[in-house]
Amino acid sequence: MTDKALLTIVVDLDRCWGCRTCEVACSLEHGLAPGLSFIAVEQNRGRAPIPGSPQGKSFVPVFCQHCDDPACVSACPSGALDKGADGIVRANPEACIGCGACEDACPYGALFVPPETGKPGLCDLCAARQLTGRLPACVQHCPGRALGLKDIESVAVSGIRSETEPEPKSEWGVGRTVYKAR
Amino acid sequence: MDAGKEKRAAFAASVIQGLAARGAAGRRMEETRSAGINQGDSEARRSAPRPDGQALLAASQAWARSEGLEVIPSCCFSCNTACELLVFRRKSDGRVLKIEGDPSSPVTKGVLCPKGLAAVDLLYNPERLKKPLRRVGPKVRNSADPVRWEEISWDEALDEVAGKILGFREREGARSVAFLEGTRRGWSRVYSRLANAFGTPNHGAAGWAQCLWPRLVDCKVTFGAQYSEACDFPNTRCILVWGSNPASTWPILGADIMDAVERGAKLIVVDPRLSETAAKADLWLRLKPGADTDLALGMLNVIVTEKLYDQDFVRDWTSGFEALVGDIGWRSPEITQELTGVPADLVTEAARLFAAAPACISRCVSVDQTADSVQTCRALSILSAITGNVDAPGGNVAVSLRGEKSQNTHEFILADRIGPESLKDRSGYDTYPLLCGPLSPVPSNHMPSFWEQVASGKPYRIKAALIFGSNAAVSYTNSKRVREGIGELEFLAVCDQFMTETAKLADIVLPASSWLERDNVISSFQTANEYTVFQQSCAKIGESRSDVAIIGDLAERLGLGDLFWKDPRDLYDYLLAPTGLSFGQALEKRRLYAPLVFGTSRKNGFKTPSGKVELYSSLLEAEGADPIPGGTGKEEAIKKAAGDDRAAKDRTAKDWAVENLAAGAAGEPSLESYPFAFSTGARSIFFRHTENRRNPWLIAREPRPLVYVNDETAEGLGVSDGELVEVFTPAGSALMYAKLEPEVAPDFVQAVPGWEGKGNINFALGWDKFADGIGTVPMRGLRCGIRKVSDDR
Repeated sequence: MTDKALLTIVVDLDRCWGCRTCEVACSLEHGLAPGLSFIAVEQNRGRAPIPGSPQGKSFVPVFCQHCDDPACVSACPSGALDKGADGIVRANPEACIGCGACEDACPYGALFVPPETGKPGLCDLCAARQLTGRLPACVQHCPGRALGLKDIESVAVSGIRSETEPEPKSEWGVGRTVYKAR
Repeated sequence: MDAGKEKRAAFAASVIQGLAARGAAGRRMEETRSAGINQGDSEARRSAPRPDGQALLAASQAWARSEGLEVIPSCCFSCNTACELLVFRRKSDGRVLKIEGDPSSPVTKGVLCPKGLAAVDLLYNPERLKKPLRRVGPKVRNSADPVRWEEISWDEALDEVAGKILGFREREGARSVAFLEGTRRGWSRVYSRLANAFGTPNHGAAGWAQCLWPRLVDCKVTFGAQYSEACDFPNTRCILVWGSNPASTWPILGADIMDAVERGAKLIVVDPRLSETAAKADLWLRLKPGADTDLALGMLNVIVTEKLYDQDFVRDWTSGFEALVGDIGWRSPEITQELTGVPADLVTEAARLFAAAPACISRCVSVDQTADSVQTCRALSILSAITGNVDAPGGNVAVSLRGEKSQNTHEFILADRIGPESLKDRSGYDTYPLLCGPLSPVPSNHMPSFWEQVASGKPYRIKAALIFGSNAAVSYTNSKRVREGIGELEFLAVCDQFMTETAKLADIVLPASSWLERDNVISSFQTANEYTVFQQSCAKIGESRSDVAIIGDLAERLGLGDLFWKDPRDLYDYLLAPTGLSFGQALEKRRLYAPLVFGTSRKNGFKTPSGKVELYSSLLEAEGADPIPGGTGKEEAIKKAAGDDRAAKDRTAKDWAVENLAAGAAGEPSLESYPFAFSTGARSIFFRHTENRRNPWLIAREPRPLVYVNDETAEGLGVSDGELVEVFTPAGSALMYAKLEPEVAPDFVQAVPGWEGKGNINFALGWDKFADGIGTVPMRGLRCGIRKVSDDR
């Protein structure tokens, strides 16, 4: 891992309690209009217990998964979205024609075109922060410390407490983002 | 629902399914029971691993330098937690651009909740008050016409305030002037000091009897301590979160709780709603709102009956155990179930879990808001005491300061300036000794009685009031009556940051600075058990000033200047003097530290009359209050258990709703019109009390006043998620938006308080009854009706 490589995000559902701090942190960090953010917390209910909640009410932060096979990239007619060699989906606003096909294509509702810019907005893993040695805004401020970082090989986890975990948790994901729970 | 939201919700469901398929199952009791206690030194366990905080801080500073920003360490005061943070200020023009958590903070480890993150708006919100204002018209305070203001200088404003209240004191006595305030903001006790120095017995706040005072009275009479309920989370094996939702309202506490849970501690949450914290619980006890004392006493009885208590501690360090046992012996888990709605087997299981391990109780304001507030708190303290979880690792502990002087003493607030004759003039003094007399943290008025007095002029007229840092027209219960009272005042000065509904009623409005513009020494159990932290001013907005400075200037005009501090830093130097540090030196140091010490009371005794933990309280007995928490009376309880109101209990959610609908349509209020149990206990992470509704970053996330309603009940009422409903009681009503939750009991609704306008739920709360001894306005276990209304109403 070179020091320019971006780390992707791992979410510990056992520690996410749905406070939505990540949403506000993201909104402020990226200068989005109040109420908009590249991460949003959804609730999931089920017959207790379910992953993330012994009582059957879990919270799931949803944001760009940096999919293995990203639908947004395929849908983009102008090549403004690209999955890099490091597995990270990036937007190139210069090439974007503002058609909105990416927003329709994203199966997870994680990407949208803010009216202010007309260009696709998605979680960029706070690249500007990471490249200057800082944690992504959501990761740093998450009160439950449910958000952490992992490297692209998905082998190391940092930024999220793990010493206290009695045993490794189950992991699941559709791309570079990993969700875990016990 | 927009397409994006729908897709996100579907993805969230697939995450849960995906994890379940990989073997994740949610935590189960068997797992936690078998988990062993982690060994290792407690300091290591206290700090969850993060990337090195100092390195992250250095990175932030380096980035800031490259952007032409300077980084000022301070701490938040968007709530009482006071999280340490970094303020990023542009060097060229001094504008604050950004606020982040301080990653080097040993207390927060860099986290910061939305209120702190979005606080830049406190500085630059266009509605911030920047100059003192004088009312030009209309003369009638409660007039519907828009208020006209003129800007005046600070000298004019303070001369007028001082001149008015000195005039009233001269002509009508000091008692004709009242000093009112809101939640603690770091200067509260300086304000209390001003009230007492001025000589009026009339001083109070919207909270107090409904917030913290019941807990503090409990700590004092039970343990002889100022504050003895901090939790030693790093060493605990069981956490009983009682009626509190730290995930939303005290996030750094929530993180400590999650850490403890990951180490294998059990989490029991008592809450009528499946709160964010309860969602993580091993045991969730869904009690009927207001049944707290009965539930605690029921758990106590299990512990006593099964002899699970700490027999050595009870023998050596408690008094009144036999009396307690005699009082609660009839409270079987089955009777407790009838009284509280919590299934008998869960009552037993929770009691056993709590008694089996080093365990702590994490409680907050909800226990202060029951109909027998002090007794609810006492029942919980007794639970903690007889299980030996007092002053012990993993239990509830007393916190002290780090050497600095406390403002929270009767000496600091000059309480003895109000003599016995004057005290008789304090509304509630005869009836509520625990609030108005010497056992109270700040001896003060019973505020419902006070507002009745202001409104009626009996037994004597209150002519003038100063209201500092309080949106009184919204934050007191019975808002209608409070506004009638305010309408009767001959003079009102309000000190605030915004033109609130209360400020609009004033003759003079003083612009207060926000916490970002102030220095402060914060030594609060709410921040940390082991640290004192500091705030430093990062900006100046208009002519707004710190309340400490305003109070100092006002005191000078009242001839009391020698008792106050003209420059707030003088106050902080004074408070820090015993540590040998000036405020400036303390800022350099960032924080003061002293480790938690266990076992002091077991060595030196408790500072109660008996020297022991008083299960039977001699101090309460002397004040005419119940020496042992009573809860629901035995006869009434047995009647209930016998099934006298079985018919009512067997009604389904829809029956409740249909009945409610019919009663509402008939338009004739009767008992049947109010079928719902009701509380105003819900809170949001985006707001505190009445604050932050003007902040676009926060209001966008929760734009409307919410009321939580069971989804089937709502269906019966024809109400969908997000629709407007009227919550009504005999006292009044509020318009709120239904938030549907399947886990809320069918006959319960819970409102989020703090909204101005028609969504102010305090319009629906009357003053029918108050807690014995302390006069709490109950906000749990109330009754209301709800009905759908159309949005255009």
